[in-house]
Amino acid sequence: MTWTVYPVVAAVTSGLWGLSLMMLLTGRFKPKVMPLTHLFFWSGMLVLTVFILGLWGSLDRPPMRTLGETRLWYSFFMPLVGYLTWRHWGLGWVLSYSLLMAAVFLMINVLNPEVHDRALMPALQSPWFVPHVIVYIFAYALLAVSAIVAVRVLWDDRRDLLKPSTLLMADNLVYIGFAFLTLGLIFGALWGKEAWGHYWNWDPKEIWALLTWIVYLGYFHIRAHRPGKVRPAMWTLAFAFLVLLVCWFGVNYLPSAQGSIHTY
Amino acid sequence: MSNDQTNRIDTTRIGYVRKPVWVHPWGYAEAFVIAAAVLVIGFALEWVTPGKSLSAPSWPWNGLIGGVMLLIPIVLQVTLPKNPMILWMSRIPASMGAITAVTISVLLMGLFVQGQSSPVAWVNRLGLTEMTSSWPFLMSIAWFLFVLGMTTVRRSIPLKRKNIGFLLNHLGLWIVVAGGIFGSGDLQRVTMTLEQGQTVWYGTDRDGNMVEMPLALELKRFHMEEYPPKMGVLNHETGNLIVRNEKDLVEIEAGSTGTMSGWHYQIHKFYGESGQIGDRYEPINDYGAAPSALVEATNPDSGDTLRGWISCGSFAMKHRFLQLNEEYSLAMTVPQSKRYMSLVQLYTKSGETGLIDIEVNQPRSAEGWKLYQYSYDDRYGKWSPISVIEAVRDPWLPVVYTGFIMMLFGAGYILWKGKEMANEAGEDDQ
Ligand code: HEM
Repeated sequence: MTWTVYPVVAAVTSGLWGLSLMMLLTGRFKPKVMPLTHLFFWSGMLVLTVFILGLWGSLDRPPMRTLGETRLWYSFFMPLVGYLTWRHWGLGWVLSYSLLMAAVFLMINVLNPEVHDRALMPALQSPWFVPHVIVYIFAYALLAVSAIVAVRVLWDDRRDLLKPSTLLMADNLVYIGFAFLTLGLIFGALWGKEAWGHYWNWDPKEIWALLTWIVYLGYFHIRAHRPGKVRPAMWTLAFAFLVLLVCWFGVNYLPSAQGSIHTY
Repeated sequence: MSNDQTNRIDTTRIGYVRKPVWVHPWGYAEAFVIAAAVLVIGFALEWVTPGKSLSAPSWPWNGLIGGVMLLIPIVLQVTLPKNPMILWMSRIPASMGAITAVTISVLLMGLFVQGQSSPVAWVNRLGLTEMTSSWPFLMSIAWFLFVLGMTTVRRSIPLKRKNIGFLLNHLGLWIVVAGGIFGSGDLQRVTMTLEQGQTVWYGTDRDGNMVEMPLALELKRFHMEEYPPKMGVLNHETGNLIVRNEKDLVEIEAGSTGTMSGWHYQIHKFYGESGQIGDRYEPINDYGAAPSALVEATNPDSGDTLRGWISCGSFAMKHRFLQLNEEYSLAMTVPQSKRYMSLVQLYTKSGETGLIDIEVNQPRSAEGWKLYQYSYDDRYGKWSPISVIEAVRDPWLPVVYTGFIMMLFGAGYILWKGKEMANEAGEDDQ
């Protein structure tokens, strides 16, 4: 399976997720349709999974090298995180937003078709490659959901409708997301030692990954200091996601990143 | 799950009185003033000492400074545990100030091109192109390590079981940062350029100095595997291949057919290594042999069929296109490397010898050094007569890795405990 069939896959997956969303919304009035939410959700996941595995097979390498390929994984993890948050905290809107975001990322890949390229430069051929990328993209998916929750907290707080459970969810998403970010950073360092001779090279991508990590670190220290004052922490959390996006996509456009070992 | 959370939201919002700056207990205002001062003084020092880049001290001085930086927080926390300044330095506002100072210096590093001097004079003079060896960077790191040390020590006296997660993360990070910064004084990275038949026992460090090595290397063979080359349509005017989607650039394989920019093509023959004989190519495995393919292309409008050879050439052979019309040609791309390695004879001072293969991502160790496949002469590609090996010695690596392992467990702890951790802090602090 290659990128040739991708537009169909993206359309079918988004369609199934759209149906899942509709069932989620109607489920409020007609609980009987609720099982269909799960059915459509998992069908969409299945289609995407089959495509990713097929692409992996046809490329003969993990499909994690190009930006388009990482977006694919993001569209895969984002709904999973949304689904789990929904099941765990019973907040359907989290699932809605994450499905929407995942669909947007699927669409970006339709609009920016990529060339089928099996080549994997020697430095990337390492047992660290897969865990490093998976852990990072999973963290990104969690932290994206946490940014959505932060905006919701700010919104609810202004109208004095803030529920402690929403706040708790933001915290937990960041805790888990941050732990994965830390794993990604350290896996990257261990890999760097094997591939480039040193665990830290101050490469632009590394610098921005560190900045991202620090801003999230700031978030939960601000939170821990005055648990009652939520606004500064939530603004930090929303802002942190912007830094994360610079790290993921923006770095390629920075003049300081010309000659980075991480450009793709 | 946490009802006290709701209560706190209401109570802390009211009754907040503004305290003048520099009156104890200190808070965020003092933290940010100090953080700003650290950076401003750093930049001022950089400005008045132009051209003098800082380099980390080497053993034993780095060990000594590191030890002192470890001792100060312990002594302060043991002798003056009730001092309001000491208390402030081990709490979150001071930490946020220090974290912000480090963030700003790292951000500047992420925005300015590092390692090459800028055309703008003040950018160079402020050290913005060499941040890692600049005063503002080192001073913010020092302040950061100090505050992190104060925090960590405070939470470790007395040592309690429930603080284990806190310690893994904070002490782990302290060890990583201190080990990395101080270790850079003893880090040696030396490149050795090997040529077949020569035994090399010296290398060049990053500043261009010659370094004598406790080991010698002799290149037996440089070996490279490549991906098959690709075929695409070249636009004569722009000199670029037309790549709109994945059908426009295909891996060359004998027997494959398809359509590219409207032309139907068929690949009849493909040789990975070949030489030109008259108007044909024939497989040979001589020095400098290049890939070639015999292709046929049919214009869908006129039905004209063209047949001919294409090749990307090599350092020894010319490339060859198949011209389709005035504007376009079929062309072959230079193959990309899949893996490369050097087969090397190793000799050491201790008398140990052996034949080792050094491949990208698979360094070898000898005499306390790690040997990496670093580069080769890319003009010659797989025929490269030289291979460059990088030798790295980092005696502080075990220190940094200890910190990494602590942080890995710390991350595991966070995953396990989740939000409970912050609640524990709340009880202690407020
Ligand atoms: C790996 C990085 C870090 C992680 C995962 C982390 C995590 C945490 C967490 C979860 C808390 C609140 C819960 C608790 O007290 O156990 C906390 C508190 C704190 N952290 Fe960090 N932190 C990190 C780095 C830092 C750094 C770099 C500083 C200072 C420069 C710092 C200073 C503090 C302080 C002062 C507290 C409050 C301590 C107390 O109330 O006793 N942390 N940290």
